[in-house]
Amino acid sequence: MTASSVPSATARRWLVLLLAALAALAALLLPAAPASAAGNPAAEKGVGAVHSESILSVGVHECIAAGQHRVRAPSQRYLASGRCVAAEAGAGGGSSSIFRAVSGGEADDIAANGFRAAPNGRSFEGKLFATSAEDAARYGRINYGLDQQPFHIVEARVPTSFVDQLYTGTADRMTFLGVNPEQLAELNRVASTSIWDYVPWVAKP
Amino acid sequence: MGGEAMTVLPLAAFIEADVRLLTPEQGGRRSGIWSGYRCNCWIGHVGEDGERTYNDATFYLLGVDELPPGASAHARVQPHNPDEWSGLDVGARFELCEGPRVIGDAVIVKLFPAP
Repeated sequence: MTASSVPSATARRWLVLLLAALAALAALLLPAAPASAAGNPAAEKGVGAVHSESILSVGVHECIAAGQHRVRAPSQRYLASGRCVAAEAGAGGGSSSIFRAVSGGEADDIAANGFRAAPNGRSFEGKLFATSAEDAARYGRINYGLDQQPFHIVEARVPTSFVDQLYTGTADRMTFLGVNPEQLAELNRVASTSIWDYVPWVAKP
Repeated sequence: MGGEAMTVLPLAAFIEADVRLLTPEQGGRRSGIWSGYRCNCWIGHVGEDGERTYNDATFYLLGVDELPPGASAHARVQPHNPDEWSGLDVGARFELCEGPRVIGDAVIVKLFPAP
């Protein structure tokens, strides 16, 4: 090796400084990755579904539109339809959530058939909903005290204009919203339904 | 369907009542009810605004599994919140409701001590 092929110490220092300057310039020009889905247009069009074992992103290939409400992953028992950001944005007029405490059998029936009158004649021909998940949990706890059947919380996200059409009342000191039998088809058309995999803790009713 | 499971009455079913369902023409249900049916009952309570407030109960039919619209049967009634029902006595009448819709009525024929 000749002396001319070995960089001098000064040249090495200049090389290090040049590389450092280039790295600093790259850090300024390249944006950081989005910190959340809120800033990601693609994520807003997807449907996220929460499952006890994983978070499934149905993804942009399952784009949803206002009024389209049921997206179900067939291999997952309690996965349904989603927190439809795009649907909410497209619906206009806002949306609201209404809640029911349901047995495992009714949860399966909702996933398969939507909301309908109980085929066993043991409940309303329409449907009652609570105005909060906590009240639904209180109803569920009362029912559990009667039949010892585990229950699930079902959330139906619907246009607020639909909620405005429902009748309201009070039963056992809790407010309910009632869907008439004639309104069930409309409920199933507009609702984005999800079955929670947890129940909010509430004090004894 | 299901009636067999209801042959053992829960201890807390402490009201016995004659229950009658309205017909669809009277505003009642189009289909019958089965033992274990749950609904709102109006036992005479009203809220501060004068609106009816309801109390839920489960009905266990006695002698039959199903009660069709327009028919009557005896039933054990299990209030979900028994304290709210404490003012009722034999002979008292209450309504079976699905929200504001009245689908039947009942007359108390016997009271059992609360467990």
